[in-house]
Amino acid sequence: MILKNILESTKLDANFCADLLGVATDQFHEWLIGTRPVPRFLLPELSSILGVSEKILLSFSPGSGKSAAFASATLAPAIWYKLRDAKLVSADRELVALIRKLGFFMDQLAIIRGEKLRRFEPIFRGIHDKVHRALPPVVQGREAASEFRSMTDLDHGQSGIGEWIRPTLRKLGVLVVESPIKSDVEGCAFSVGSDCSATPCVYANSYKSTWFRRNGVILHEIGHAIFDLESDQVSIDYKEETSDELKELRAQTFAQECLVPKAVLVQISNRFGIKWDNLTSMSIAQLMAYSHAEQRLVLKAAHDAELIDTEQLQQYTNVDCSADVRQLTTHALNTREYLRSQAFEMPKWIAENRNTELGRRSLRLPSLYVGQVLDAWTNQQISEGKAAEMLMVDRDTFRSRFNSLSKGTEKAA
Amino acid sequence: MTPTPGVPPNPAFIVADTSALIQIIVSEEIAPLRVLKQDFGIQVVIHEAVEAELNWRIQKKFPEKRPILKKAFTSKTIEVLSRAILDGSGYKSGNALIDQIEILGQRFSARVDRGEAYTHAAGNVLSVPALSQDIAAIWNLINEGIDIHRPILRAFDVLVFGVQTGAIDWEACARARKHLIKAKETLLPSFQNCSVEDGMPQFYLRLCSSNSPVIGAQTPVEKLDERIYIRKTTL
Repeated sequence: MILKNILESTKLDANFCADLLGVATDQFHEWLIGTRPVPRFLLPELSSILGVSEKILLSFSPGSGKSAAFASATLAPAIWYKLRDAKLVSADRELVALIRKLGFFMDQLAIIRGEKLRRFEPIFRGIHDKVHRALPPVVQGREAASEFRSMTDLDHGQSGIGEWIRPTLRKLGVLVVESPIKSDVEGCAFSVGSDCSATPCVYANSYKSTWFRRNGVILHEIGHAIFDLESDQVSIDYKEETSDELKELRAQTFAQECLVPKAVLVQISNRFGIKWDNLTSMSIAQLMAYSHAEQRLVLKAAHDAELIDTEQLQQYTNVDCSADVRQLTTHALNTREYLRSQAFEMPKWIAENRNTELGRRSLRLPSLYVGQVLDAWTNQQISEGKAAEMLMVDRDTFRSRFNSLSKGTEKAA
Repeated sequence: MTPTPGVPPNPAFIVADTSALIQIIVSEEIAPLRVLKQDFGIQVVIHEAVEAELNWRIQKKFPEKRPILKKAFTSKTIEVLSRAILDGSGYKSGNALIDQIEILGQRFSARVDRGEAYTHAAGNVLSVPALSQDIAAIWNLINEGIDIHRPILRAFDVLVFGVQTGAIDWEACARARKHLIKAKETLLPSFQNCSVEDGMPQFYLRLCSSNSPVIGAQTPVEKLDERIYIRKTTL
């Protein structure tokens, strides 16, 4: 009964879980009610998704003598406590489960490629240890951002870092997922992978969101990953919600100072001759396009840096500069518009070829991950079936998307 | 039946993978599997990972074929590998063998999909042929220096074996091919553009009964073409 208890504690739907694990629902129900023990082949994946160690899952298998009630009371996985929040919908929880399954495959891929990137460890630990916890949260966030920019070489040139955030985080070994989900969740941070190789994952909801906004969200979640994941297991941020909580203030300041420190604002204003006391829609668009941050964040940063006063902040926040931003940068276009604007052929793993669907849920996989899976497949390190499994699509879908990449030696008989 | 000197005994099992079993279930021809069990004493077994995958894929993709699969399980034409089955077939230390299969299967599953991984792990540990359609997966393991127990049988080896032993006729084979085409399943190159009967000269049967004349190509056609002869255990 342990699986049933754990599942109840996570509020995950059993049918969804059966699909997630790639097993028939009636068979999954047999494991749930304890008619048959959970098979061993499934334990690593189950453990990685649920956040319960294999040893514990095994120790509470039928016949072990430990009661289900005891299991239920002691083993509800910590990561799922917060995910049971009433504000969250099943779509949110299922997305987290999907991402945690992705983390399981990422571990496998890292072993096959012979590279397990854990560069985030010394950097995150360094920042965590360096910032004094007695300081005000805003100062903590600012100091952490300055350290982060310096340690990751993002402070070179004092220009916008939006285009470098994702590649930098991926090089550090952090899993960055941006996928649309109709939910109040704006972003979250949690760990994926097995206990011994837990990797921080930051998620930004791309539903009705902009690239500029998500830059801030991703860095906000990185702030949480550095300071809060150790004790909280998962950090969730909702749309249109502000909080004065220490953790939130620190993470928000971290994001702001990473993206738009005063030096970047000054550099952009000098470059374009921007007059702070008379910002036009074009000059606000320039600030956005070159700092890679959304309007509200740029203006708040300018206000915090004492470049504009409170009245100007309110006045400039109401300026509609969307048309000007679209003229200045392709980042203001949506994916479809962006692809249309590109003359060259995009790689296979761009846009819809990165989507995976599981029942009612879909997830857009990170392009780097998809690229790595396809590399491993074309280099014959993994089979076609394994590549499809890792991309969480069936073989027919995999073939229809990527068969042209096959070297011809790997045709199924 | 008394063993004949110099002739290897029949394997106790054929370990089947999802890809091949799906083709057999979709083709609606499980009579050859029954003949293997009843006349040749060879039980088709699957690992729990394949059982889960097979049930799931049939449920999702071919729900109308579920009764055929269910019948194959209830009639024990296909059985799930367990200690009891190993014990019943004379294997010593069934638990240790199951442990070995689990460990090897987990290792293989980093490179090939779950069903293939545990099927080839069981084939290797038990030294019995595997029934698997995915040549790519097999090459992946071979390229990694992993020795795969051979021969590796395909769904059509079982179907044509059925014709050889008289369990089914060419018409049944033609129907099976039609079902597979309709289900958009990948066919072997020998049968892609012609009927099974017409494609036989290009098909090297890997599972042969030594009690009937061999049919199809007399020499190997593909790299992995290796043949196993099995004998009837009932007269």
